[in-house]
This record gives sequence, structure tokens and C-alpha cells, in this order.
Amino acid sequence: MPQGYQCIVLHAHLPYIRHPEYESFLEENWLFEAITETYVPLILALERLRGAGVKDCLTLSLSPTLLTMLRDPFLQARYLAHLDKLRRLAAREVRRTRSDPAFAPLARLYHEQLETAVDVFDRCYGRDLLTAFAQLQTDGVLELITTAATHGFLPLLKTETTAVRAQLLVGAQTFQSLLGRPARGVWLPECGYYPGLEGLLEEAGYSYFFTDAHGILNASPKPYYGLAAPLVCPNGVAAFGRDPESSRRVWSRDEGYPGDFHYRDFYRDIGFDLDLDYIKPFMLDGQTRIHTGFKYYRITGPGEHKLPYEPEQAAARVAAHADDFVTRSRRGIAAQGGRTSPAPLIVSPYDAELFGHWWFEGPQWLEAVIARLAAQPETVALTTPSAYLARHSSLQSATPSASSWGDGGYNAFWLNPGNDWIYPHLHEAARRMQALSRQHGAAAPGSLPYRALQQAARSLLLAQASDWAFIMKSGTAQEYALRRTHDHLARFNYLEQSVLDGVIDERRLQALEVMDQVFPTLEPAVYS
Amino acid sequence: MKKPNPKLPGMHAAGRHTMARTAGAAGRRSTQPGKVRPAPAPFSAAELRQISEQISAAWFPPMAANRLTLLDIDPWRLHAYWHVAAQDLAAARASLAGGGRDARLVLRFTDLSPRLPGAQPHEHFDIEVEQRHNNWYLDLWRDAKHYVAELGLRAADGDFIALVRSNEVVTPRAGPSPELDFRQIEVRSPRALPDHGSGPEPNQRDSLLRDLFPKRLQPGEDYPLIIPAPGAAGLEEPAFPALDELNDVDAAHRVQVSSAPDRARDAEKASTGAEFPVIQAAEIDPYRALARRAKARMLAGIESRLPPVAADTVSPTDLELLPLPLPIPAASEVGIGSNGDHGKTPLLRPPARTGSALAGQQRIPLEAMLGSTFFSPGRGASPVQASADILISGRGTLDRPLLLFGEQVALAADGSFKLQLPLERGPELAALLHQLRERYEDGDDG
Repeated sequence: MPQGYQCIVLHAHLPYIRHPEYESFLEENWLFEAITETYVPLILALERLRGAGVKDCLTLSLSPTLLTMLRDPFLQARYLAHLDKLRRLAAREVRRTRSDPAFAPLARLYHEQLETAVDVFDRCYGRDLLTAFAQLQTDGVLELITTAATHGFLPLLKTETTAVRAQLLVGAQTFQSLLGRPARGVWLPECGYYPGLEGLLEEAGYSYFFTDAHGILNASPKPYYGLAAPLVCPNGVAAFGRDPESSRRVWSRDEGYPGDFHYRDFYRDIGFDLDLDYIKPFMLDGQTRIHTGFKYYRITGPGEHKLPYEPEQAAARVAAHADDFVTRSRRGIAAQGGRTSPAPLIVSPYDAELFGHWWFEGPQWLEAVIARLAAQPETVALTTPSAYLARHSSLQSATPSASSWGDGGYNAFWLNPGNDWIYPHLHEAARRMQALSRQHGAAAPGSLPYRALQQAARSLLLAQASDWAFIMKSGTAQEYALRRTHDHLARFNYLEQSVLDGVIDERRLQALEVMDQVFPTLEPAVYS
Repeated sequence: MKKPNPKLPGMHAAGRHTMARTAGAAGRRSTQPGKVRPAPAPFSAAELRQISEQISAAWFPPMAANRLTLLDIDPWRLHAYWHVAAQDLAAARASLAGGGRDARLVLRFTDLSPRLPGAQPHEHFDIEVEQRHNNWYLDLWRDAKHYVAELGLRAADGDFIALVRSNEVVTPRAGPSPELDFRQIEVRSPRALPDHGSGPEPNQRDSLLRDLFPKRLQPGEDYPLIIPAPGAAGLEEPAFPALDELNDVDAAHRVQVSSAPDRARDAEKASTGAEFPVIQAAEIDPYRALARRAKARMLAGIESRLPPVAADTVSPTDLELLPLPLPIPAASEVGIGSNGDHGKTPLLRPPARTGSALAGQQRIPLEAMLGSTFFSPGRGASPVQASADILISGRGTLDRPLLLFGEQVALAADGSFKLQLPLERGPELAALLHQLRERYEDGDDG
């Protein structure tokens, strides 16, 4: 029996971005880049681990918006078109760099990565990566969980209980309808928890969730085992706390592994480095420079000067960083003094898109960590929350403290002078959605009023995505976030009034259904 | 929002349908459930863009109802936003003396946090705000506070007219909770994972239980894990060694060494129906009484030093024990320094090999208790060390094995058994009691 457990959690989420009203759309690339650079490498790593007999090595949260997008034929087709364009660029890059001993191997590396993406995405899984993740869960390699429907930041929606309930229920229903089984646990958007939320989590069928470290450490009563064991809320829903030490080793800009000078630099990209005439065919509008994914330099150091990327050196650093992580995990477990009931546990959650997209070597590192831990399970064994709870179901009862994993540890990143204007509208719309659902909930499924109700709920959920408030604060793509919030609130308002007036323009409704084609099985009654 | 539905330019005339407001009325156009809805005529990207832009331009929602909302940002900061119709504000102002010319718009915060006995409840403070801002950020001086607010007009003479009342908000705690109650409960979900083999296999469950207390599962080493019931044929030691034996470290050690159970023999006896004596309740009762009183003393000592705790944070077991009288323990009661006849097994005894003991009427210091109980892990070194044993007895069904921590327990012919285990300091005290009880209660008939 191991001395303790390590639980690695990846949370994969992207906002719902789908713009059939445009021939191409820059922000759709967020999904395409994540597929090529994160999800496909992750699937390949997990398949290798499955071949080695590894079980319960990862908990993967797939957000309902991401699930929907990965299953969307429109976006699947656009992704293949995106890949085709990049493969043409790769061929050109292989030719362009063939006499350059530093860059030629890198061009071939990216060419190979793109060919692999086509193989996995199209030929292997018929464009449906959910099949791959579902199979990995069926084989016991990982545990899949999900999050709130559009990743709404629940602590700031809590003034309207129906809004929080709908976020959770629609999320749970979407997961089940797309993956064929319910999720046992939930990743709270941005780790945002407030006391009382556990009642709605139970209602949505979840048996556990995660909080940031101080959510557990400031729990009431005081947690006897600190972060080294989950707590159980009085209603029986378990809470796992994020370990700050292992988080810092991956997240920290200064101390984290991804900042190693031998790793690939994210920002130096041929989309900005090469002549516009050469790169123009691969720009969305033929004018605006964007990241292409072809990055030939390593971080090198803090200055502007960069040296060519050397994958072999990076691989050596991956091995060293994996060793370091595993060693520290074992030390952390050993420091618990051999306690066995409940067994010590380290929970290390990360954003999935960090691995591969931002940190190019991330998937290799993750695979190396898992392989090392799996090789010596007698010290620290890998586990998933469900597997851990199966062994340790009797835990200290306590209610976590309000918390998030955002800057400052609470709600400030999603509520500040840069984005506070959205909350009066979000709360008001939630109240009106509840009233609308109660007043018109008897509409027959499939009828125009029912469809309008469904679409109004979709618009409201999409407006509530935490991503928009986050982007408004962080400053990148700010205009897009403002527009999305504005558009969804306006669509909700339009649909609400149409239902109230009894006058529904079917063509307009169809247009909104085409544009916001998310949560097809949504039942407006979740707002009643 | 009761905005009239405008006729928007560019509307697709053929797609507009009018419905009656009542369900089922003539004029409603709806798709029958179960029928396949005909696919809409294809949209061009331009048409989609046009519809999207028209709706966004004309339908951004205004605020309608009067409302004041509080949101917690962090332990020391609140955000308030509000909407009050201009006519409502004007009417309120007009109702004040002098037309309310000097009245100020204020947010009146009321502190609903639990207060000390005798303190004035519901203290409040005002923040002057401006209507045109419609929101405010408020810095606080304490965490974990409970507030409600009203937006209203405060006249120069102090009169206050509330326009709208907020929701209640509780700011987060910024540090550890003072509550120290420790209770274990079960996670809500089923324990098994039906879909893949990550959960423990049935034949591994014993080893999982065994792992709970590995130090006690090394037969024949430090301590007799399982002591057969007294009078078992072929066994030399009684199930409950005499008190003087246990108070004598060396004697206790001898017992430990020599009382390693012969499980094969026990199993054979059990299977052949060899007779074990029935354990009488009277044999156990003195120990139970002693345990209850010791725990009551411990809880009372701790309670006097801890901040008040709500009744619902105390476990049912503790509530049962708290009302008991709290005499200063005599050495004879705790089996220390005396061969009193309260029982043969001490619940508190001097630490092995140090030989130190508590004198007759000496009160056990609170720090000693805190240092050796689950209430305060990791506190400083204690001047007194305490150890305890637990006695377990019961009855099982002979045709099914009875396992305790993965070890099979030898049963008497009538299914009875009796065990003695050491308790160690620290958190395992509570966990062991719980696990034993749960396992015990989960047993077949025990």
C-alpha cells in the first residue's frame, strides 16, 4: 500500500467561440491551437501510458463548452481547414530552412506534429476527440469530470440561485449527453466556491469538487489534516484542496519549470518574425500578423536575444523537472508521518492548455511524471478523486471557506472597475429568465415558444461565461469580450420580449440557433 | 424590461409568426413534438451577421427594477451596485422636511454578524454616495462579516428614508477557523467505481483495512493485536491481564511477547465448535464508565479554554458526555499508582519506560490533554504523556469470518470475542474509535 497519493488534475476549458457568420474568425483559433498543441499530445501520452498498464493517473475536466465545440461538425471542419493551411506552411518551412542546421530539424518537428494531429484527429478518431477521452476513461486511465455550463464564475452569480443551479445542471446534463455517463466530480470555474454551493452541487449529482488551498485551510471547523486530506461538507459532498507548492512549481513565472531557459519560447513566432509577403497567405485576413505555432527559439534568458531551440536539451530538462516534481511529492507525503487514515494526498490541478500550448514541453513532462510515479507506487501512488474516495470515504466534516484561485484568492479578478458593469445585467437577466421559464414553461418541446425559451437560456448562459470578465480585466482581446457580453445579453433580451409578446420571428430564432448552437438538449425548466 | 418589440429593418418577412398568448389558442404556430423540424433555408454569413448586428443594436437591456445588490470581493472589500428610478428618488426627497434639499443619498450598512452577549445588535454605518455612479466599492476592517444594506436618503436632521434594501452578504474568512470540532462523516457518493477497475477489488479490501493501522498489524512484534477470550483451551494468558501486570512495564511486555495468538489453532477451535466462555457485560461496564468519565473531564477542561461553539458543532457523542459531573480524577480511577478495583485495564497510564506517574488528586493539566488528543495537533511538548487502550467485545456469526483491521478474529463457540488494542496519541484516537465502531456495526450480527 502506498504511503500516500498524488492526484493530478487538468482543467480543459475554452469559451464557446463559433462564428459561422464569418468566413474565418481569429478567436476560433484558440480551439484549433489547443487541439493541435494540447489535446492531441495529451491523448498520445495517455495512450502510451495505457499501453504501459497505468491506471487512475489523471483527472481531466472537460468544460461543457469545450465538449460541445469538440463535437461540433462545423468547428471540426474548420479545424481541418486550419490544419491544411498550416501543413502547407510547414512544407514551405521545411523547404525554406533545409540548409539551416539549427532550424531545419525544428521545421520538420512542426511538420511532424501537424501530420500527427491529422492522424489522430481525422483518421484515428473520425474528428471526434471525445471518443478518445471516453475510451481512456473506460480503460481506467483517467477520470473525466466537467464544470459549469459556460464556466460562469459562481460566487458572483450567487445572488440568483437559479443562475447557479442552471449553470451546474446544464453542465452536468451536457457532459452526460455527450459522454454517456455522469461526471462524479466538478471543477468549479476558477475554483470559485462559496459556503452553500455544495447544496447545488449535490443537486446536480456531483460528489466532489476542488477549492484553492485557503478554501480548505480556512474551512470551519479547522481542517485537522490541513491540505493533506479532503474534507466532506455536511451534506456529504467532498472538497479537495489545491496544493500550493506543486502548483507553484508549474505555474510560477519565476520559479516554475516552464520558465527554464532551455524550453521553447512562446512569443517568438515566424508569424511576427518573417516577411509579411512570405507569411501573408497564412494570415486570416492577409494583413494582421498572428501566431502560427512555428517557433524556433528557446527562452534563453530574460532579454530579447534568443538562441535556437534544441529539443534534446529541452528533453533533458523535462527529465530533471519530472524527477524534481516526483521527489518533492514523495517528500511531501513522507512528511505526513505515515498516517494511513485518511491516507495523505497531494492535489495538483492545472489548466490543461498550459501543457503544450504555453509550455511546449508540458505534455512530455506530464507523461514523465506519471511514468515515474506509476513505476514506484509503493511510495506515492497516482490516484483520481473517485479512486481515493473509494478507499477513504470517511473524512472530516467541515465547510470550506469562500475562495477562488484567481489573483488575490477571491473574486477581485472578476469584479473590478474594468468589468463590474456586467453584473447588474447578468443578475437582472437571470431573474427575468426565471420568471419567463415559470410563465411559459408549459410550452411544448419543439414549439416556437419552447425554442425561444431554450435560446434565451443559451444566450444568458453564454453571457455569464467567466472568460469575458477575465478578458476585460486582463486586457487581451478586450474588445471581443465586451462584444460577446453585449451580444448575448441583447439576444436574451430580444428573445425574452418575443416570448412575452407572443410574436416570434422564426427566421431570426433560427439564425440565433445557428450561431449559438450550444447545449442542444437544454431544458428551460432548469430556471423554474 | 417591457420594451415594445420594434420592427427591425431587414427582417425576414416570411419568417415572422404571431402567436396567441394563451397556450393552445388559435394562431399559435408550433412544431409538434416528435416531428422532424424542416431544415431552415440556408443562411448566408451576411444574413447571420445582419441579424446579429440588428439585435445587438436594438436590444441591449436597460435596467428596470429598483434594486440594490451587495457582492463580496474578498474578506475586506464589498461592491454595491444599485438602480433607483429617478421618479422614486424625487418622490422620496419630496417627502422629507424642506423638500429634502439637504438630504444625502447614503448606503446604510447593517452589521448582522453574530455578536457577543450583551452587545448592541445590528450596528450600522452610512456611506454617502452619488446616484450617478450607481455603484460603490467599500473597504472593510474585518473579515468574515455579515452585512445587509439599504440605499436611502438621509436628511440633515438624521431622518432616513430607505429606497431599496439589498441582499445579505457574508465576506470570506481570511484565516483559520477558531472552531476545532472534529467529526468524520461519509462521502455521499457510492464508494465503488463501476466503470473501471481502479477501485479496490473485493479480495483487496482486507489489505486496505489492514493499511489503516499498519503499526498494529504486525503480529507478535510490539503488542498483542488480538487477545483471545479468556479461558480458551490451550492459551496461557487471560484476555484481560491483571491491572498490576499492565502497570508494570516489564510485565506488560512479557504479556505482549507471550500472548501472540495462534490463529491456526483458534480457527480450528472455532470451526470445531470448541467452547469459549461467554463474556458478561458486567466485565466491560467498569471500563466503559471509566472511559466516559475520562472523556467528560477532558472535554470540560478544553471547553473552558475554547471560544463558544454552536451546539450543532459538537458531536452527538460529546453532547451525551458533557453534562456529566467533572470530578478531579483520583489515581485509583485512572488506574495510576494504585491497584484499585475499578477495573483491570487502565485507560490512562504512565508512559512506558519512563516510570512517571500522576499523584493521587493531581489535576491533569489542560496542556497535557491538548497535547495528547485530537483537539490540538502539533502543540508543544507536554509535561504529561498519556496512553490508553481500547477494549472491544462483541459477537459474530461463526460461519463467516470476522475481520478487524484485516485480521481474522477468533470467535468463541457462541460467536463472542474480546480484544484489547492500544491507542496512540494524536489523531488516530478518533479515527480508530470510528473505524472500529463502523466495522463493528457493519459486522454480521455483532
